[in-house]
Amino acid sequence: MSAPDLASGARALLDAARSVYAGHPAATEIEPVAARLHDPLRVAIAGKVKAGKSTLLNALVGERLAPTDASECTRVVTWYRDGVTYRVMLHPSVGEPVPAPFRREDGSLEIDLGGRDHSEIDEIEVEWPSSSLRKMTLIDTPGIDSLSTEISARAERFLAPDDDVPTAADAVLYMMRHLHSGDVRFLESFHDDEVSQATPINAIAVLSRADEIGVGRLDAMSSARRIAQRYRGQAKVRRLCQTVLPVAGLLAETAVTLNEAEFRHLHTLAGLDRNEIDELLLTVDRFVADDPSLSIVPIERVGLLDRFGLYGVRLSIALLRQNKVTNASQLSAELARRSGLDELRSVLAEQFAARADVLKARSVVVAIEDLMTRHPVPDAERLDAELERFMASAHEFSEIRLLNALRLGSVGFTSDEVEVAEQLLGAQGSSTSHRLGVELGVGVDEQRRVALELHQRWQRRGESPLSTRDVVDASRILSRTCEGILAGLATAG
Amino acid sequence: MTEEHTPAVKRGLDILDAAADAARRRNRDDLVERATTAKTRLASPGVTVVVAGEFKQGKSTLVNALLNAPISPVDDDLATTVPLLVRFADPSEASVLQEDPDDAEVVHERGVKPDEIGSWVSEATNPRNHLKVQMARIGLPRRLLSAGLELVDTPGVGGLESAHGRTTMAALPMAEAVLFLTDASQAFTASELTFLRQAIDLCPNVTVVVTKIDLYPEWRRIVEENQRHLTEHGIDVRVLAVSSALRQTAIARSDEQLNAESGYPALVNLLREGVVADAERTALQAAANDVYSIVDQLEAVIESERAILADPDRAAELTRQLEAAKDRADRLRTAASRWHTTLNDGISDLTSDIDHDLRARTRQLLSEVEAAIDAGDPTDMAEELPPMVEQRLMDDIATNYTDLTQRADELAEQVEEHFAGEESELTTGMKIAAPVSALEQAGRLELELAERPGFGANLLTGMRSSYGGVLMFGMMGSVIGLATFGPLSLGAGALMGRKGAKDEKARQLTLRRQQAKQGIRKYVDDVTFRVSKHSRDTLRQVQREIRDTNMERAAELQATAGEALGNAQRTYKTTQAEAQSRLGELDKALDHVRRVRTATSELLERES
Repeated sequence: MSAPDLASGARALLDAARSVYAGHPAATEIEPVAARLHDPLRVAIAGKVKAGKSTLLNALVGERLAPTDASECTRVVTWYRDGVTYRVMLHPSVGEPVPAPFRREDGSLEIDLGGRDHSEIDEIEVEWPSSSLRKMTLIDTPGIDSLSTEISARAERFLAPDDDVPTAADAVLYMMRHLHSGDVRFLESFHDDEVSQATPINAIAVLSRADEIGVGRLDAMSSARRIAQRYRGQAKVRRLCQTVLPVAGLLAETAVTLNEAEFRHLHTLAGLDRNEIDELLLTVDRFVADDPSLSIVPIERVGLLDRFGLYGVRLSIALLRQNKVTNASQLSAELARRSGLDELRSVLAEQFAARADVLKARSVVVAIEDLMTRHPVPDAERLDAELERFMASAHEFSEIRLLNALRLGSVGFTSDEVEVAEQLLGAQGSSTSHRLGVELGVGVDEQRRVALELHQRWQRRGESPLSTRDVVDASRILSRTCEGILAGLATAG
Repeated sequence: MTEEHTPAVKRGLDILDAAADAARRRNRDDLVERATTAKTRLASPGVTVVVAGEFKQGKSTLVNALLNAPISPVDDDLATTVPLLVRFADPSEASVLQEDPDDAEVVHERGVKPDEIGSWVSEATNPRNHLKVQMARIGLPRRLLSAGLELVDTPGVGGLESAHGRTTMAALPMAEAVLFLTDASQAFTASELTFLRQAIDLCPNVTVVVTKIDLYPEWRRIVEENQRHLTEHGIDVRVLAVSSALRQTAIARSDEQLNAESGYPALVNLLREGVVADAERTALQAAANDVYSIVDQLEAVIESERAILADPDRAAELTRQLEAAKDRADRLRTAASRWHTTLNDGISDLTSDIDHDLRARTRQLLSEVEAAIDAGDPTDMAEELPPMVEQRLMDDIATNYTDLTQRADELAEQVEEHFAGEESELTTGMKIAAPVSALEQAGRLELELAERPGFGANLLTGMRSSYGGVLMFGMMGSVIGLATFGPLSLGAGALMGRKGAKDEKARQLTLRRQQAKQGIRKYVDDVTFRVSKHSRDTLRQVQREIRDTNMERAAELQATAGEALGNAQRTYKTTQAEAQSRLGELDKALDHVRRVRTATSELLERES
């Protein structure tokens, strides 16, 4: 909403930092922080081993970039950012970054580490011209609970380094196969109560490999949706992340990279006799068995299985047989929808992209706070005052704080009030219509009416003598949010 | 309840009948009784196989597919919350062990309809186990179960390191074998390997079963990778790969080929050959030990009489020896005997060690938790702290309990060694006096005694079959979670500014910390109290079992020595002719008794 204010506030804060730290050796740390304001939002993809992190990254980029296979393959934190040219940089633990030669093997990147062991490399940075990466930089992380504790520790160091050290990511997509106690512990370490630290605001949980929950049955995704819904309602999950979405990662990746040949093969298989195709789809072994009567040779079927998984093949063939799709682009669209990718994308756009300025400004605040703790300087009070002023003046921060408090259940609202308040604060999406809870396309007058109604409601709630202090404070923030919306509507009208 | 027995078990039962018969002819009711008890034990050995694994690896599906019955509920979301024991029964029967609503320490067994058992164990119909079921049992007329196989489907909710994972771990010392399930979607995780490493210490017969191979193209590579991980970690277990979905289709279509593809024949074979047959060998060995003991004693009596008839001049010397033997047998029954001392001292040491260990662990736990509370705000931990404490406590208790079972086993073995030592001295002492093939007898006897394995495992059957561990952990899980940490209001300070209302905040924080600590201490004390009572009871039961068994055997030996002595004294008065005919009778009886022994040795040789 008041994005220019936030950005200028953050810039003012950075200027103050520059002047306070002028001549100090830590001054060099400021410019990278400043750069974050201009860079796209940084979204890390985290989760347990084999949760499908790289696969999802590929699905979001729309290209098979990150290497994926059935064993653990991401061993180093890897950044994928938009660039003017194709380039891979290695950041060794010791020494300057060096460019690394790479080639694409079957689509995915193969990076030549130049004889270095992956343990000697801190990060890999991949620059790739891509419209998806222009919107957000994606960060692939090694799996947690990896048998190699070193690899696992790297991911934790990156995502939740130490208590008060800011993370390099602005937001996190946390992949979980199902809710393990280990997963929650991990989200916790990312989450911290201090507003400036990670909060449920910048985390979305993805119930990954969702098709496998229903062991490959055709109704697997509805099962997964039901489970995600249950998790979403749990207080424990609510205070750790915004929402939980089911995604069949492999299917999503294949949907956005589907080629004509694959479609033709599926089409041919779908034309087989019903019994024959049922037998073929019984097990993976049967599907790839040597059967000379089939025009699609085993190696092609292995290829299909690799790309779609048994569930994907079953689903695609069912869609083709029922004539629900008739060409490759229809199949691609249908699979993207059914895999949960479309929904994830729209939630990402609503929750992360639309809020990018707040999230980035927040990252700057955290970084500056951290700088002050690690490098105390005599003049720090001036910077502290600036920080305090910025934090208190930016209404967006108050909103985030309140949203967190609501998620923690620490405001004495009724459950109905919590729902309305969360929506108003942008929990369902930060567009005006999302916040007001009106249908898209509703006229400005109607929106104004709803906003006024909400404004009055929260004002009354704040002024009620029965309201406790926390409720009064929360209601004030909410009525101010309504005022902001009304002001926005006035300029729009 | 009828069960089918293998030829070896049938033969073993026949031999026990013959031994009972021989004892009856000598009017030894005590030995007849022993043979009868041994028969009951051999006839239904109760081979427990625990099906363990992470959440959602297909444990319930495997049990269902294995037995072709929808026993355990299967759901894409949560499923089993209560351990379910599946065993043989014809017709089907089922029951649940349910806590008394008023007194959690009282457990009632309640009969239920077999087809409704699912509703007692499933999260869907028994959320958070509000029905307070500690364990469910179902009996089904299935051939696979007929030889005494009992499958335990365990809840795997929330990871192996969770409370449920610990419950499973606690059940392992009672199990003959473990099937550890992991699906083919990925190779072992670190927590799975940790579980396996610990499991193998508690129950050596572990098989890894890779499931859902119908779904994952790379399953062969996953199996190989798992095998590699196992080798790297020095875990020596078998690995099988199965598809339950395929098995179910195969059964529905009666398709042998599909069944073979499902990998189930290998699993069934493993259970039959690797597990049941293994347990059968152990049961046969135990039965054989009983037969040998009965036969040895009968033989000693017969031979003592025979020796005096054959060589009346040695009567005085023999009587002296037999008197000494009887003295020793009498001593075996007194508290001064070595085995008795070992047992009593051992149990009291064990009781205090176990108690001390538990206390040390909980003290450590409490101090860690309190430090954690002091370092943060209990409100932030309200969700996570109770399960964490519960889990840590469960972990400590499981380790403590495992220690208890292992040490109880060791103690039983030690007592047995002492007892057997005294027993062999005794029987040898009675027999060595007999001039007939004395050397040969002594030699054979020693050899045989050396072959006998410790009786420890058999002695503790009562403790094992009561599923003490499982029940105890069922009890644990039902302890209500911690008290809430007071009002959740964070106050104005937390919401608005970072520097306001600090004092109020600090005061409330101190209060919350106190409440949290009190709640946790009360919970830990309560659980510790119950567990420590359970441990003491268990050890008392172990002590009683060992003492009763040994006392019975000592009484038998006493009777044997007394009878032999009586024979020696009575035979003074027989005439030559009477002596000759009696010698013939005795030779026949001796021959009969020895044939029973030979048959036993032959059976054991065939089966080993």
